[in-house]
Amino acid sequence: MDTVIRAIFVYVTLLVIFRISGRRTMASITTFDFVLTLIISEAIQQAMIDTDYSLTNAFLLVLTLISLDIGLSLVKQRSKRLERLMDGAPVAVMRDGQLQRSAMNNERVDEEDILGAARAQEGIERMDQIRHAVIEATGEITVVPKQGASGR
Amino acid sequence: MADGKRTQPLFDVEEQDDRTLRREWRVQRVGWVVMALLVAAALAGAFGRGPLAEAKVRSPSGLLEVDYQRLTRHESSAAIDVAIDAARLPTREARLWVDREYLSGVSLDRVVPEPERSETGRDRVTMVFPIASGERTARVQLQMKVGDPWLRRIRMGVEGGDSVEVTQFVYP
Repeated sequence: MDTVIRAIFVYVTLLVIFRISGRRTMASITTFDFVLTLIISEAIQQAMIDTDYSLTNAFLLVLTLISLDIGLSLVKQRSKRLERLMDGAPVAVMRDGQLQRSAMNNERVDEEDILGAARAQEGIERMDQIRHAVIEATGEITVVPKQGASGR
Repeated sequence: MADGKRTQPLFDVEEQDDRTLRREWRVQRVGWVVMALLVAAALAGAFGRGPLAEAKVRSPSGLLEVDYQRLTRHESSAAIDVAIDAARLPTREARLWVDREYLSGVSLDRVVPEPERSETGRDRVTMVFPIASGERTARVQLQMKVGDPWLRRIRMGVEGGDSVEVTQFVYP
């Protein structure tokens, strides 16, 4: 019984903590983010297993986690509001060539991040070639170039 | 191939639900404050292993002084240090008892020093330690891994003398 409770607790706690930490935390770009992902999975493992190294325990953990995932995705499908609440929605950090400072500050995105995404996706060199820039729910920044500006 | 119903993109960059966004950012910031407070509390020992978690208690007559962890965690190692005033003991041995209910909920790794013998009673285990001549205080350390979570009651004492009773909270 406690295996299932552990799995649920860990899953929900991680969900809430990552959701609260904002979109940028989810996008692993830097070495630091990569290290974070590695360490977190190590930290959680011990607590979920708790000296029970049986096949049964491992199986139950996986089963519970997958079931939770499926359950939550079904719930999200039925309610747009819940989906918005749990996943978050895209946020525009640049609109019609204008930087949205408030969104940038709150989402911890700076101009370098936007330019980097612009180079990677569209081959764009300068800020004035960008029409819109959006930080997605995944933390990735996507760019809409101005007409005729794309380098690709 | 598209169903032809949507002409507008699902996400319109021009329009953003500002109110929901601002609420989301505010909730995030509150969340960060809560996280910071939890980290600070943990450093202070509120979740075990720190100044807030350590406690000391004396028996009414002062015969027995016990240092223990009032807050600790499941499967974590915790020690109980006992100091017995040897001068007040009638015989050359200290008979320290610990109630079985508590012992059954932990995993006792080691007792330092090793008792000469252990006697198991109905509801308590008594450990017998010889006292060297000239020794004023007998010190015993019980090293253990805490097991069952939530509230645990520890009762221990010296046979023929008085005892202490404390509560320990074990985080799961």
